[in-house]
Amino acid sequence: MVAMVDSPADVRPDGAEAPVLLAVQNVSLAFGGVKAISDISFDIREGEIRAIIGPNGAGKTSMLNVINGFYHPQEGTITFQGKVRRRMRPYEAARSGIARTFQNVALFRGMTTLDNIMSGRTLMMRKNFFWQALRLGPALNEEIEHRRRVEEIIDFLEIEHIRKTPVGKLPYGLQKRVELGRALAMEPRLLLLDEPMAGMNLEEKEDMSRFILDVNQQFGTTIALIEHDMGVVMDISDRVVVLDYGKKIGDGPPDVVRANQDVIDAYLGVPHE
Amino acid sequence: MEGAVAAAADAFDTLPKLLLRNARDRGGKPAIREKSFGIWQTWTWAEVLDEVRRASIGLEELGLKRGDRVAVVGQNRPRLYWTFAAVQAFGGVPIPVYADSVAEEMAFVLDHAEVKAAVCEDQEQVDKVLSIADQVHSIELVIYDEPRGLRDYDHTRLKSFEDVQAVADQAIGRRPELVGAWEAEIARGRGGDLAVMLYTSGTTGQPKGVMLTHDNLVISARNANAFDRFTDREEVIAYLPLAWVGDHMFSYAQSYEAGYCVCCPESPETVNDDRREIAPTYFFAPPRVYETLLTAIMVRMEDASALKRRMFHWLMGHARKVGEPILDGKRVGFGDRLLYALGDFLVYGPLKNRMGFTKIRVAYTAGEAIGPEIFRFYRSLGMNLKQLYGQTEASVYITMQPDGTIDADTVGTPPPGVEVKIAESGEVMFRSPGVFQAYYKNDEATRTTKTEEGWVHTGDAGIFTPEGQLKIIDRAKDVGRLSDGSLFAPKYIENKLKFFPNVKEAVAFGHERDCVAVFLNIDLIAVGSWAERNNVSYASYQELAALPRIYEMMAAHVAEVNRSLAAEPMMAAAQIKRFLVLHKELDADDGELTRTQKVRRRFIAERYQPLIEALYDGSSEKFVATEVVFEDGRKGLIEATVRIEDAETFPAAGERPLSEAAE
Repeated sequence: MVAMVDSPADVRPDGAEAPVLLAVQNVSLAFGGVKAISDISFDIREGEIRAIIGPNGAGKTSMLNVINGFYHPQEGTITFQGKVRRRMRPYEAARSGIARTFQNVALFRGMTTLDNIMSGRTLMMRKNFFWQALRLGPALNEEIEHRRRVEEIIDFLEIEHIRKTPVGKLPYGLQKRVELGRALAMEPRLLLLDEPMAGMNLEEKEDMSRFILDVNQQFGTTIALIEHDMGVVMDISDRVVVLDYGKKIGDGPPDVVRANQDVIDAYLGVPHE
Repeated sequence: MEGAVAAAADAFDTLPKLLLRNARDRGGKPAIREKSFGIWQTWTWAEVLDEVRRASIGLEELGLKRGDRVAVVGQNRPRLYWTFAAVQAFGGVPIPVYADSVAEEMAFVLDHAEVKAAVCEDQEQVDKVLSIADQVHSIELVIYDEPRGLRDYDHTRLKSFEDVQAVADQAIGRRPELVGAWEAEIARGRGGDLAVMLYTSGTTGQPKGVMLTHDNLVISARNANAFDRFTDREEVIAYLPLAWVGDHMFSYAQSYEAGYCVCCPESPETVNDDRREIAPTYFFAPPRVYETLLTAIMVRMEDASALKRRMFHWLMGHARKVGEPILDGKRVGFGDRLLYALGDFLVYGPLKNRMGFTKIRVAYTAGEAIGPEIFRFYRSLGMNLKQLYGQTEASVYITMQPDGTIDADTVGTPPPGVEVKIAESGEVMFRSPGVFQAYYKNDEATRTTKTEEGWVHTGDAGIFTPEGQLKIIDRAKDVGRLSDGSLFAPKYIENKLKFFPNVKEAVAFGHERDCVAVFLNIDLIAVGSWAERNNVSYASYQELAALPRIYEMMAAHVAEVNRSLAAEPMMAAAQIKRFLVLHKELDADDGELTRTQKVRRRFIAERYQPLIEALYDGSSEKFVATEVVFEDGRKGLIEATVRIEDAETFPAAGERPLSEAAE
C-alpha cells in the first residue's frame, strides 16, 4: 500500500503537544426558538481521533454541520488551520480540507463504487471542461492519476469486489464504506464522520473501526466522529467531548469522561465497566 | 514410468533448480501475475528469480539455514509463492498453513512443525501468529507482506518482506559472491530432500504433517503436465488455499515444471471477475465451485426475459444431446453440428465467457463427487471438464480421466507411474512416485497408512468398472448397513440431494438403523432468489429454512432422489424416509465442516444427537439450542424448533430382474 499523503511521522499525540487543527469557540446555534447548541467550545488537535457523543437530540449532528459550514452559528467563531471565521460555505470547507460522511448514506445510488469515489476527487481536477469533455491528452493523464489514487483507496478499504457495482445495490455496511472512501478521496486534513457505524452488525463495526484507526495512523488524517456505540467510541478515540441538550458536559480522554458523574447521569446511566 | 524417474534424476530435480532453468530458458515470459490497484501486474521468470533470490538470501542473512521450517500463512499472493522457492533454495522446508484457521489450529501446526519463522500475508495473520508466539517457542522471526496497520508494532522480531529483501541487497552489495554461493546451495539440493510439509485438515483428530520430497512433487508434476500436454503457454488462476496439496501442485510445482503462468486474484471476493479477465487455459476447482457458478447462472436465467430464457432452455437441450459427443470426437450429424455452432454463438460461448471459461483446454474437478447434471452441463458447453482422484499423500494424482473416456460417476484410470488396487475390504490403495515419505512425528499413523511395500491406504471405498475406470463410493469407514443388512452409502445419497441447486448441504444417517433419514441445509442464494421472486419475506437463514413452502420444496427434492434410488438395485432399500431442514448453516468455524468444506459426520452426529433421535422416534418437531462461533471468535446460542417431515418413497419396481441377479 502506497501512502496517499506523506504521513507526518508519528503524529499521534500523547498529550497536549500536538497543535490545534480546529477550535470551536463559544458557538451557539438556534433554529427559531429551539436552541440546538449553546455556548460550546472545544478543540480538535492534529492527528487525533476526536469523538462527539451525547444522547439523541444533544446537538451532535448540528455541531458537525456547523464545522463543515452547512449551518451558520448565530454566535461564536470557528478557527480552522489558524483562520478564524464566522460563516463559511460547505464548498469552502471542502476546499480547505474538511471532508465528511453522513448519518444517512448520501451517495449517488445509480453510479458505481468507483465513480462515487472518483467524484470525491472533483475538487482536485485541474483540467478545464473542454479537455475533460474530449477526454484527450492532458485530461486523460489527469484522470489516470486520479484513478490511481482512487484504486489505492479501494484497496485500502478492501472493496475491490464491488468496484463496478452500482452502490444502490450494495448492503448498507458497504455503502458506508464507499462513503468513507469518497471522503478519503478528497485527501482531507479533517475527516468528519457522522455515525459511521450506525446500523452495522458487529463484524462490520469491527471492520469500520479498523479502517478508521488505519486512516488515522497511515494517512495522519485528523478525525472527528459522532457515534452511539459506547464501546467503539471508548476504544478508538483519543479524546471525547460529551454534549447534552446542546451544552457541553464533559471533555477529555475516554477514561476521564467515563468517570465523569454528569456524563454518567446524562448518558451512560451506570458507570461503564 | 522409468523414463519419468530417470528424468527427475537429472539436473532439474528440485523446484529451485527448475526456477533457475525457467529464468534461463524463458526469462522474458510471464511467470506470475497479480491484480493490484485494478491492474494486472506481471513478473517474468527472470524477475521472479530475482525476487526469490533476494528473499532467500535475506532469510539466510537473518539466520535461517538448511532444514529450518518456515510457516507460510495467507491467501494466494506472489510473495507467498516466492517464499516457497526462497526457503527451499537454502534447503529449508515451507509449511503452508490455512489462512482461515483460528489461532489454536495454527498453534498446533506451528508448534508441531517447530517453525523458526512465519511469513504472513497481512496484519490479520501477523496478529494470529504473534498471539500464539508464546506457545510456539521455536519461532524467531515473523515476516509480513502487506504493511498496513503494522507500523506501530514492535519490530524486534517482525520484518516486512521488503526489509528481508533489503537485508539481502545490502549483504550482496558487500559480498557479491553471495549470489554464486546461493546458486551453489541450490545445486546441493537433491530430489530426495524434503520439499514441503502439508498439514491435512482431516475429518478426525489433529492434523497430520504430510512430508513430500522434491522428487514427489517434481515427478508428479512432470507426469501430470505430460498427461494433459501442458506447456509454458498455460495460464491458471491461483485461488485455492496455499496449504492444500492441489494448489501447491497446480500453482507451484506444475507451474515451475512446465513454466506456465500463475495469476493471483485481487481478493478472494473478486475471483470470479478476475477469472473472466484472465480466461485461464487450465482450471481446477472442487465441485462446489462449479455448483455455485451454475446456481448463479440458473438464478440469473430465471430473472432474464422470457425470450432469452426460452432460447437458453432450447439450446441447452440441444447441447445436452450432442455437446458431449462432439467434445469426445464422436460422430455427430451435420445438422446437429450446425445447430450446435449456432448455440455456441448465441448461448454456450457467452455463458463460458461469463464464467471465464472461454479459453479452457482442460478443467478438473476433484475432492468430492460432482453431480452428473452439473458435470454434463459444463461438458455439453464444450468445456473439457474431467475428474481426478487424489490425495495429499499421493502428491495429488491417483487416477485421472484421459480425454475422450469421461464419465460423470467415475474418477478415471491411473496415470503412468501410478498403480492402484482394491483391497479385500473394498478400500482403494495406490503406489506411485508421489507417495509421501511419512507423517511428521507420527510413526503410528504412517505405519497404519503406508505398507512396507509402499502401498498407501486411501480410506476410500471404491470399485473398478468393467472399462477399467475407478469409481469411488464413499469413505471406507462411512459405508454402513441398514439394520436389514442393505447397503448404506451416506455420501452417495447426500450427493444426489446436493445436486439440487436449492440444497447446499446434506447429512444422511442410517447405519444400523431401520431406515435412512437426512439433515438438509438450504442454499441461501438459490432459495433466497426463489423467495424474492415469490414474494416470500424472511429475516434470516433460520427463518427462511423453517418456512412451510421451503419444506414443500425440499420434500419434492427428497422424493426425486428416492425415485432415482429406487431405480438402482443396490440402493433401493436406502431411500430417505424422513428429513429435516437444519436451523443453521453447517460451518467450518463451528467444526461441522472441514476447512475444505467437507462434512464432519461424526461431529455432527454428536452435536445434533437430539435431532437424530427425533428423526427416528417419529416426532414431528424438536426444540434445539446450538452453540455457534461468530467470526470474531465470540460464542452465541441459536435456538429453534425444527420440524421433521416424512418423505415420499418409491417401490424398487421395474428392476426386479436385476435385483434378483444381485441377490
